[in-house]
Amino acid sequence: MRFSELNKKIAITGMGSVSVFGKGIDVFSRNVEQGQGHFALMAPAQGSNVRVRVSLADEQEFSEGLDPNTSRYATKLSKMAALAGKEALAMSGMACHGSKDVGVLVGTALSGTVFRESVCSALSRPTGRVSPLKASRCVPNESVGTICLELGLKGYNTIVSSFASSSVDALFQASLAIVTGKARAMLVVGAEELSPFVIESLWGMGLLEEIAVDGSGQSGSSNLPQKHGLCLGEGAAAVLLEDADSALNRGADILGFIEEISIRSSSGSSFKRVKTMAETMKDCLDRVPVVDDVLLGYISANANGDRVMDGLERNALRRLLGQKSLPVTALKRALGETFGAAGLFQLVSALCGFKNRGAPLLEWPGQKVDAEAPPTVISEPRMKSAIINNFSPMGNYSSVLTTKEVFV
Amino acid sequence: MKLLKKVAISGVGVSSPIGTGKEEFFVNLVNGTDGICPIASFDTSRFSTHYGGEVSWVPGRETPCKEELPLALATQVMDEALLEAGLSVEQLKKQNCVLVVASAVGGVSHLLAVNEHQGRAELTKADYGRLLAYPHHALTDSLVRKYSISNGALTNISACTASNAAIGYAYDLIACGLCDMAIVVGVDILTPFEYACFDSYRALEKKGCRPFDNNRSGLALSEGAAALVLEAQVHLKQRKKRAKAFLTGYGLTNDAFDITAPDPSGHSAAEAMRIALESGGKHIHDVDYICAHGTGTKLNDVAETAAIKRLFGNQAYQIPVSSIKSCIGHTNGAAAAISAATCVLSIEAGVVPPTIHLEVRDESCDLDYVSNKARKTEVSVCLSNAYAFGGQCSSVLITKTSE
Repeated sequence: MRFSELNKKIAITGMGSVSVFGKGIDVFSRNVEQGQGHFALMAPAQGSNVRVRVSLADEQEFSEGLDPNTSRYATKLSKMAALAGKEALAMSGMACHGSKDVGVLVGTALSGTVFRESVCSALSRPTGRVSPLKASRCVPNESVGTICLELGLKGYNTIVSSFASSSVDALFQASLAIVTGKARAMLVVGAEELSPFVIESLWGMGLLEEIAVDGSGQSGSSNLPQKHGLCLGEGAAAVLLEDADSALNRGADILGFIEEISIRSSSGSSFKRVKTMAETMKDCLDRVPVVDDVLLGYISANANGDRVMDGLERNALRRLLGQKSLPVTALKRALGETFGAAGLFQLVSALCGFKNRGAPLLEWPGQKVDAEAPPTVISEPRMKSAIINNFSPMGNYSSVLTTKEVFV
Repeated sequence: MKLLKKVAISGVGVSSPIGTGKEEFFVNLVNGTDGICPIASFDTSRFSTHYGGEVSWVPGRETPCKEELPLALATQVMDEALLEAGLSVEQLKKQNCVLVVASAVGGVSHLLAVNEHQGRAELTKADYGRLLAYPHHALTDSLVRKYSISNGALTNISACTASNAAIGYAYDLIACGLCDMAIVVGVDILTPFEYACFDSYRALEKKGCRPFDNNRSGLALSEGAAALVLEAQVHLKQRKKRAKAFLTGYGLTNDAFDITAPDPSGHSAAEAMRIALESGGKHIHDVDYICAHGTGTKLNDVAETAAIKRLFGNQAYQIPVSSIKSCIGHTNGAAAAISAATCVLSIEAGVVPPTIHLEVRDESCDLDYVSNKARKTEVSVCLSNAYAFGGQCSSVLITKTSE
């Protein structure tokens, strides 16, 4: 499916984030621009003699800013989501509008897992008991409820999941809600919270980058891993979407536009998956602005360090670009794989690049992947558009084209 | 943007504690069969209640284990719905079709199974690998593979409103012309996990489920699935097939009142119904039947009744309202899909299913709840409601014709 078939432009007028770097867009932008990562070493499981790198958001860093009645029983995921959403809504200037005008859409891969794991663990013990407080935090839609409660939003709202492409699928559905008149504006939030069990499970499946306790085997650049497997991360990122004409008419400060969202699903052979990835990106590439035969933009790759998925994406990029030149970047080298939040972090990073006239980017060369390459800055003239890839191992392939100005 | 395309419902599939297949389900529903029984699939001795609804399986076929049950149920209802829509799996591959799955519980049985494993330190790579079926989207991915869906697939996890939200998304996609067809599947199973959660709230009824009854004390958890094949009316005509009913509108709102309790005023729930009616071009006097969320909890039933009265005024007393959860229990993420299927079957059969176990009227619940006995009546316009933790309210509008 292609959003551009509807011939409607969507503007982005607000953004927010809670990340490993702390609360707020400014701190996020500053750290990513400087190519910073913030990974901690931890044992993936009891008795394990290896360590894995994880990028965890510190709850102490963002405990302020929510109504105590909202946050008292909210999960960490919901708090991050509500704070990121609050920042985006405030930036957009839409907070003063009616409570039914702004809808909410959340994308997440593993929402509720922390407390689900705790309940399941309790049930595995003969006398284990489940507290009602834990039970209410197992509900997968708790975050959307918390956002609505905190921000007093009473309009269209829902929560979706498509694993690592949840954010982009949420963007698609939110844009559709605006086009069909379900909401005047949509707050779209991608959020993910790590649990010890998720880390242990992915490590148990052999998917995480491992580092020996003595430090041997550690990949070169200390803060920029992801060469030999996933490094997990968490956080929340949010954008406020509006119909472009409405945003322009009310004189809103527009951060960027959504020109295209392409969504496909596919399973089966590697060839088929590469083809689907390339087709998804091509839908966006066809609309990238060109000046003097130069494509003005870059590709924010899904690239998360997983050998299989990275290999497929690399082949798809080769198939897509051919002789064309377009920088390819990997934001997950700084943030880790945040699954349901990843696409929105990539989008927010692109918007920061548009705003700051430079690119807060970590390069992931398309032709030969070198995870140890130093971060490079993509020059300002190129910072006109970004194609954001969210490719899920669970068969969902989504790409978004965001642009600084209206080109098409 | 004007929604140009009419959305038809061309196939329905249901699996529930009172029947496998829509025909058996609806006959038993109309007869007021109670599907709430002592739970057989897991030990309930640690809980304060012991009743729930479990799906009966096709005789002669081996009952799947809990980990495999969601996929087995989803496949069963999808196959039934596709058969009715006149689509083989091969034909489906050629359609511009999207899959939208709704589930609240998801693959939690895999999490339970791994935790029950003796000593986590002994877990092997293969044991961990089973957890690939745990994430919310894992079931959807399995269905994408099985049915070769290529135009996109999404999982809605809005708890008990998930199916209505999934139906709404599918409706918008078709009405805007982004796809010709969408299959919506709501599915959830009964496991010790959600049983323990609801038991911890003391929200479970001791035996059967008694929505709107003065002596009700909670809900009955259960499991089930329903699938609906939705497609553009023009596409259906091209395929020379007939519509069973039409999906004509929907509304999603939030009461922003409390994470676990509904707003007793019913304001946002009424708003969801109003939006559904308005988007479908219908008036309050057009509504023939409301398939209520009707969980049987003290707070929900009063809030839903207040919402209906708030929107419909005196007309509220003229509209049959029933809760199918009195027969099949609460199937969480599947609930609204089964309710939507019920509306389609009610339109076709001209009968409104009953609310069973309704003996003593609650003063605050004073509508026409079709007590204990189904009612033969012309049904042309139905509203189906669903509400969830997190303040989510939803309604879909299902009609006999597209006008």
